[in-house]
Amino acid sequence: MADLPPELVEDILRCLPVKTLKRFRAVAKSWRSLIDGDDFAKLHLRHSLTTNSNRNLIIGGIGVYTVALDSLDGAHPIKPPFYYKTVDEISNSCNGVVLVMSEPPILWNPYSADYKVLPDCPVERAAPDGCYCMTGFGFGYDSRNDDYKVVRVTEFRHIINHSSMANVASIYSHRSNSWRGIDPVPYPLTFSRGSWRVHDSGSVLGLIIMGFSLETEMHYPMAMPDGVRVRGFVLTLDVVGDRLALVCTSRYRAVIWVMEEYGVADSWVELVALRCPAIERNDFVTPLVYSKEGDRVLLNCDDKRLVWYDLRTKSVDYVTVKGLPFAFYAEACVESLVSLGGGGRGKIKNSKLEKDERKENIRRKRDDFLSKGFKLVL
Amino acid sequence: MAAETGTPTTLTLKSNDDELFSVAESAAILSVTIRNMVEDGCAGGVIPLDNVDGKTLASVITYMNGISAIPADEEKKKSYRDKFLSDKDFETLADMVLAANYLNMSCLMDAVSAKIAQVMEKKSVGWVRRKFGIENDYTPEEEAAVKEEHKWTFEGVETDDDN
Repeated sequence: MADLPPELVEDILRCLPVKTLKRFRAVAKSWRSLIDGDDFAKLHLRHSLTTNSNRNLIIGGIGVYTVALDSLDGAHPIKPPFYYKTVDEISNSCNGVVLVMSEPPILWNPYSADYKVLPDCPVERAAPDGCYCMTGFGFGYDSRNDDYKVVRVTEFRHIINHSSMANVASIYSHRSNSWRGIDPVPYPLTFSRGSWRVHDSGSVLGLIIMGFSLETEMHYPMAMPDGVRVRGFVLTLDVVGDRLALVCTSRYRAVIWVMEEYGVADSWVELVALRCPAIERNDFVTPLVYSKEGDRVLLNCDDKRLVWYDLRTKSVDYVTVKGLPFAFYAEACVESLVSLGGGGRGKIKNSKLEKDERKENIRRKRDDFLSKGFKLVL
Repeated sequence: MAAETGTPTTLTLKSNDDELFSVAESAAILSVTIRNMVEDGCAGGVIPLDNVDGKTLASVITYMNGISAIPADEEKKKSYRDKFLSDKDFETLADMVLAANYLNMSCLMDAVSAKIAQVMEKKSVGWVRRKFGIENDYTPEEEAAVKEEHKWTFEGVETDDDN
């Protein structure tokens, strides 16, 4: 029998997966209150992020599946605890939470089975004559206010030329559990899965990247990589390993750039460069996640194949995962205890959380990024 | 310090059950607690370690010697740690995490904590209570209700083999 002081028990428990922790709530009341606490959820999440552990892929096709990233030993079905139609309605993940883009939208932690149906938010304006609506969502974490936020933009488009006529935007705060109208987005939206692309006819490149801060609700332009080839490529944005990624695909090629340091123009680097036959013609390539050692990147090729791209040898290695649907949508997701049931819980400072400055800085960088570079998904 | 003049210095460590161990200073200062003593000049005679027993201290010293013999290669160090901990049972690991905490050896502490978590991952609630010496303060009704809240987490739990 071991008699370990509580701080050492905490150090051990933060290494465990969510399923085990939820089971160990039954050990004793003190363990239940530790595991259910906001501070422990943060400690656990930070440990998973800094050690690259408890990482999974959320796979959607017909049904939702989870694949453990370290073993890639098979796709295991997860049953959402609510009604959903298709997994294309699941957006990016943030701290182990995904947004299900139903009406009303749902925030869901697939690994703790916790979820929150967001309150109704009617579009406050009727579509102008001769227009139809398109709705997009963005989801992220506002680290300064310790709040999960959802942005919804409904754009009115002309029925004949499809040009954007106007849009209405609102933001949901999990802390206050309410929606609030915000200024319309000052540019027409380009809807594409996993990205929010902006066309700016005034710029030389023809394309720019725009960010939106969940904290200040300001829109801001971002630098494109120097020397990026735009002509003949389809450009989309993604996130890989907490870094903003620009994916450029053409018929025979795929080039992925990442911004190593968020907001620093010089930090764009070309991460992946692939051409046929390493990929098939017209493959749409999405970066998912770095390997635990950071020497490879997992790519989703055309929603049909998973491949590891070796950053040193620049070669690809096909991955076979048992039980994977024929066509799927994949998203990297860390297991977390982030709770959605409440909203507006008090924030208690934990000095332990601040003991390691380096880890803290990594977290801050990540949170800043998530709060600014959120994705808009249709 | 002698180490600076090129002569290897040996320290003598004493466990709480009065066993004496000789260890190279260069290996022993992996422990921040011991390093501070050396820097303060209080490591001349025998260093008493009141919170560590002989069996655990012997094991920690094996680790100190093993890991300090590896040059700065994080991958090799990691695989040494994995191998070092692979055959240790829960009680040994628990003693070791306490010792690592007392000796302030963060890399050993992180590795042992992760190893204990790995051992616990598929264990039952009863196993954890026994191994951690925790008294169940739930009433049977409360316990059943807590288990019911996350019933799915009780699938795939190992049957206890330590009774």
